[in-house]
Amino acid sequence: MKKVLEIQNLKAGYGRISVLHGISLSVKEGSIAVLLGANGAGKTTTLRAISGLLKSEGNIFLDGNEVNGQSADRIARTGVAHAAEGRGTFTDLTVEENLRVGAFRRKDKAEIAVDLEKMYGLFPRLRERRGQKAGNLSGGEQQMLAVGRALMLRPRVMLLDEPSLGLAPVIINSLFETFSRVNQELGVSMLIVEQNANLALQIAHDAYVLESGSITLSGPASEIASLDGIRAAYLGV
Amino acid sequence: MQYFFQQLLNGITTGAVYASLGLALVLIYRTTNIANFAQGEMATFSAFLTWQITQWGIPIYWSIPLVMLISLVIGAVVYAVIVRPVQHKDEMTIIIVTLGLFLAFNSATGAIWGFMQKSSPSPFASATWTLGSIRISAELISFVLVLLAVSGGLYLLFQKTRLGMALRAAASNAQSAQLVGIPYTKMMILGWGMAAALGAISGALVASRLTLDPNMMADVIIYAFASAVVGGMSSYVGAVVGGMIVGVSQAFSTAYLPWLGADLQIVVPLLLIVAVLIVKPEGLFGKTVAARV
Repeated sequence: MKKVLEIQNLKAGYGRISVLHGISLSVKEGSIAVLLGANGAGKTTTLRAISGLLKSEGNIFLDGNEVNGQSADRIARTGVAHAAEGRGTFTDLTVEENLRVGAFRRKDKAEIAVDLEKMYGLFPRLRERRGQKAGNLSGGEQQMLAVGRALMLRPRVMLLDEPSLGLAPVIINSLFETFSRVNQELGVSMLIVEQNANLALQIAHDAYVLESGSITLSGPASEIASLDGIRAAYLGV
Repeated sequence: MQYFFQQLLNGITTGAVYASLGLALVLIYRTTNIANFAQGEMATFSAFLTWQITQWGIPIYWSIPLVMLISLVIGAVVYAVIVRPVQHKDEMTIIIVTLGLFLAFNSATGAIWGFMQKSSPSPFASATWTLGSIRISAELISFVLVLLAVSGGLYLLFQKTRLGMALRAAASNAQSAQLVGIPYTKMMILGWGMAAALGAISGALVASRLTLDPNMMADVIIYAFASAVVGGMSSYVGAVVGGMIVGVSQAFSTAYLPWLGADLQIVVPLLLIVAVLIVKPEGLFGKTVAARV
C-alpha cells in the first residue's frame, strides 16, 4: 500500500536536549495511524518535526518527496495539516474566516465553498456560530474549529495532537466518530497523537508506541490493543 | 456658535493628520506587536524624499505615489534587517531598537537635506469657501478625503481580500498561520512596508501645512500615539476616532483656554486621554484582554 507519510530515523530535540532518538514510522494512504506514549515520550515533538515547526535530522517523505528542511508554511502548502495541541485558533477572526483561512493554499473558489458547507455539515455548532469571533467559542467548539480548519486545507495527511484534551467524554466520542467518518468518506490520512488510547485504537488502522524518544512497538491497531502490556499501560485495564 | 464650528473644523483637519499616522502605528502594532517610535521620523524622511523628487521636476501628484512605493520598500527592509532579529527579545530591547531607528532616520534626514526649513509644494488646492459665516478650506476637505480613502482602502484590504485575511491571521497567531501555509515572515515584512507607505501619506499632509523640517513630526508622533492608544491601540476605527478626539480637543483648548499659554496647550489633549483611559483602560475600541486560566 502506498505511503502518504514516511519518516525515517528522525532525530529532534530542544537545544542540547535530545527528545527523539531516531524514530521511523509511516502512514498508509487513506489510513489512520495512532501514536501512543506517556507524557514526555516525544509525541508532540514528532508532530512538530513533521510539520516543520521544529528542526530535525532524518528523512520525512510526503508522497515520496523529501520535505525535511522546508519551512512550516511550505510544508503546509504541500498538504500537511497540523491541528496543534492547545488548538491554536485565530481568536481575532470569525469562525467562518478561520475555516476560510484554512484553505489558504487552495485557489479553487467553488470547491472551497463546497468544503465550507461540508464542515458546517460535520459540525453544525460551527454554522450556528459562523459570524462570531473564534475567541468566544467553548473548548469543544474550538477543537471542532481546529479540525475543520485543518480539513479545509484538503490535506494529504492530517496531524492531530491530543484532540481529546480537555473535552467532555460525550464530545470526545462524537469527535472520534467524525475522524472516522472523514477518513472513510473523504479518504484523508491521519496521524493521531492521543492520551485516550482506547478510543484512538478503535478507529486507527496502525499503531506505534513511543517510549522515551524511541518506537518500541508497532503493528496493526487491533493487535496492539490486545497486547497485555499495552492494556495495562495505556488502556487502564 | 460660528467660532465653535470653525474650531471644530480646524480640529478635524489636524485630527486627520494624527489619525493617518495613528493608522500606521496600529498597523505595525497589530501585525508585529511593536510600538514603532520611529514611525514619525520615517514619515519625515518620506516627506523630504517627496520634496527631492519634485525638485527634480516630477509633479507632486506623481511624486507622492512614487514615494509611497519607495517607503514601502524602506519599511520592509528596516523590518527584515533590523527589527526582525530582535522581534522576539524582551520589550525593552525592542523599544531601544525603535528609538535607535528614530535617531537614525532623524539624523539621516538632517544629513542629506540639512536642518534648514524648506517650503514644500502642496498637493492640495488652497481655495476656501464660505458656508454662511464658516470658512471651509480645500485643505480640510482634502485631508478628510485622504483619511477616508486610506481607511476605506485598509478596510477593503483586510476584510475583503485573501491577502488581508492572511495578514490578519498572521497577526492573530503566528504558529497557526504557518500551519495553514501562510508565509509568516513575508506578512510581517509587508505589514511594516505598508505602514511606512501610510506614513508617507501623513508626512505629505504635515508637509503641506507647515514647512519641511527634519523635526516636523516630533509632536505629531506623540499625538498620533495618543490617538492610537485612546482608540485601543489595536483598532483602526479607534485610531481614526482617537485622532479626531485629540485634534478637536487641541483646537478647542487653544480657542477657549487661551490663558493656558502655548506651552501648556499640549497638555489638554493628553489630560483628556488620561481621563478616557482611567474610565476605559483598554481604550475606546480596544479589546479587554482575558486570559484563559
